[in-house]
Amino acid sequence: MTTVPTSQRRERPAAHRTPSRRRPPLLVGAGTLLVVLFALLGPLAAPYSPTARLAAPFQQPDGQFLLGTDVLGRDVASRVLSGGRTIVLTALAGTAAAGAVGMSAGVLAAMASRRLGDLMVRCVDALAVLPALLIVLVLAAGFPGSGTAVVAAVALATAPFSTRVLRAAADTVLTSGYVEAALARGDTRWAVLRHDVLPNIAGPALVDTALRLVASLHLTATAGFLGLGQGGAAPDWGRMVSENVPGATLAATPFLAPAMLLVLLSVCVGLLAGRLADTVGRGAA
Amino acid sequence: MSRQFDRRTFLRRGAAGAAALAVGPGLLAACSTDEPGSGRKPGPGSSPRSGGTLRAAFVGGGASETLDFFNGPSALDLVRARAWHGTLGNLDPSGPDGVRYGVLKGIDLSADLSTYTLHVRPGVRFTDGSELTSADILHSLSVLAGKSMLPVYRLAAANFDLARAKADGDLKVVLPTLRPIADGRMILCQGNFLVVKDGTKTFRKGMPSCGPFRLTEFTAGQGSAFERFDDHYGNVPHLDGLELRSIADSTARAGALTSGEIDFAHDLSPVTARTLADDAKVRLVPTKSPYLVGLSFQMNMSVEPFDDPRVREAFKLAVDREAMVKTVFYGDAEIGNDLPSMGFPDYAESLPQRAHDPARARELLKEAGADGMKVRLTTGPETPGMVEMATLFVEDLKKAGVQASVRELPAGQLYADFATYAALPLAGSYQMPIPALSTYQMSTAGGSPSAFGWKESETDTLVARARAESDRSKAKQLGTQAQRTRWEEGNQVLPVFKPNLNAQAEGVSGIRDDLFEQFPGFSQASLA
Repeated sequence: MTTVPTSQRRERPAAHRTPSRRRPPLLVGAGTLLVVLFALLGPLAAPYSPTARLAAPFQQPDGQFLLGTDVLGRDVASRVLSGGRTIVLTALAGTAAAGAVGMSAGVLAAMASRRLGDLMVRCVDALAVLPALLIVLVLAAGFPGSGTAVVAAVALATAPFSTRVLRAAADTVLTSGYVEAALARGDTRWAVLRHDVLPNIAGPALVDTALRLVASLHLTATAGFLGLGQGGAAPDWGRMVSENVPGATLAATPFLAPAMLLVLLSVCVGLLAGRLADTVGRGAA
Repeated sequence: MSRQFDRRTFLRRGAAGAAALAVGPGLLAACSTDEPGSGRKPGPGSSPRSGGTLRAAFVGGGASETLDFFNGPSALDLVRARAWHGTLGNLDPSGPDGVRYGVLKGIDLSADLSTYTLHVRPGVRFTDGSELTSADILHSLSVLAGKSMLPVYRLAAANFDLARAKADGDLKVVLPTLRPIADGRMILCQGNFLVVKDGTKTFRKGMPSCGPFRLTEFTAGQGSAFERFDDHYGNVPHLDGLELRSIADSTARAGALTSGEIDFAHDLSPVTARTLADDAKVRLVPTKSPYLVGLSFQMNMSVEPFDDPRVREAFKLAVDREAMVKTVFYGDAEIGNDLPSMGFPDYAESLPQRAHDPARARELLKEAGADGMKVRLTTGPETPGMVEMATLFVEDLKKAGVQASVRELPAGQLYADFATYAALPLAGSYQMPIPALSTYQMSTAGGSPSAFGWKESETDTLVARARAESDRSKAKQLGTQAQRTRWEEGNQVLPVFKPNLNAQAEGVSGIRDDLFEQFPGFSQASLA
């Protein structure tokens, strides 16, 4: 909610913004890009099939298997390279869906009459009360082995927050003088939406989506860890952690490698979203 | 998950917790490591040390755990009942009839194999001092077991005419069979048939029992405590007491064992067991044949192309059994031969072991016009190793040119809707250790849904004849013949028999002597 450019923030004295916070998020951006590229293109670089049993389970890393073998004797390196794509794509799809729903619902609620808008937000709040993990579990149990169910669950779990944030953002714009002037001039609501509201909430929408992406990544990885979504042999960083944790004392790389990548990915995306929020916040000032 | 949000369960648990607090020493004291009486002093010589309380941990069944073992689905329910109640008998390959009797002196069968007479062991006493009679056995067998929905108990109703069973004096029960069978002893003395007092309707702490231990505490989902019953009919236990706890997670059970919180951990996952292999304070004690669980895949003969015997054979040849044993169970399992019930007297051990021959599998599929066929294997984590096996099987099938994939259901869903399950083209499954021929008659003969489209009246007849044959070698020959047909044309791939991977603290002994190992008994156990 802090990402909403409120009047308070706009009035903050410039002295508070230290030079370091002005620096564009180059490092973080590059890091994120690298991990995402690793996840998306990794499958092409995998030396072995990620599902084939190649050797005894939990072998230590050596020349043949750079990260050793996992619980079923499969090559950890190949599985790590192949296991990020599902997570990144699922999280992206879930976030895109949540963004679309949140955007439409938020703007609609803002443009509607006060009472109707409040009613819509209350309905959305009812959904937000449900723990995100519960939604994921229920949907994934209802449609076992379906990646789409995880996407839908992620979207459902994150959309309510987007709706609230974007309604607030749209509200600020709608009560501004120039919108009132435009409406008084006789502009249609549609024209106001297109020319005044949407361009002005694009910044907050972007920041909000980035933040939701972090949450989506967490949820997707959790779903993988719990064995939901695409089941069976398909590699997935979250699932790899849970598969290999029982053998942690036998070999560390099979669960550490995917766990580190998950940490790296969510930290990078999180930092990037934070920087983005700062930049947009300043831009709005 | 949703259980956590159930207010009633929450309140009940809170009340149970409060009750446990009020009870004081017992369940709670058991959590401390230095509990007096669970002593770890080395016993003198090799004779088992008397005294002490053995603490064992099982998966348990959460709030659904029950003292009514006739309807309790979890393994712990039966383990608890075995400690608490007397048994008709257990399977014992070294025994005179292949069984070791408990509250019975013996079982006679009439020459025409149509009537079994159970002779009660005289002098067996319940905890209330009363003597066990034929009425108690009749009640347990025909009323309680007869009404149970659990497959093991249905086995009795499928073979004996329980409605016509009657007591003949205080020490004899006469049990007519539905059709002549020669292996009825094996069915009655599997270890599951426990005896409670005549007229028992509800199961509660303090009810009369005649097992090796007397129940003193029970909280569903948490644990139970027992003390020795000194008037037990058989060997009086060495232990003073016994505690059975529910610890659902395999790693947590192993952790409790290595830290000295418990003395025995039941059914660890293969990986967890592997991590214990180098621990000097702990010994792995996997169950031995015949107490092995068969892990299998069922091919549905009413779905193309599994109606073609060549396709079925190809699937059996494609599976790399040795790799499964080595990879999933670290060598701690037996290779299966596509037939259930390995190790039981009626198992056809003389059939050749099926080889791993992916090349031949490919050829057979081509001949049947099924090369490149698509199939999805549905399975779920119903027992440790099941999903891992399916994952490897799919890789094996790919090598034989089948476009195979796995669909993994969440725990507890695979069998939830049995009609849907029985219509799957290719499904994972597991077989509890029970004798071969009676199992066939119950779950495979006569086109039963669990037979996945197998309908061979000739084999059914053969099995019935084998079971009605009093000449043992002739019976064995007929039984083997029936199983050969299943082996050649059957629709079951059974690559691995896995043990229950149990582990115990160094120095604990005598658990295996109680037979029926997959549901361990502690009547002869002792601590170090």
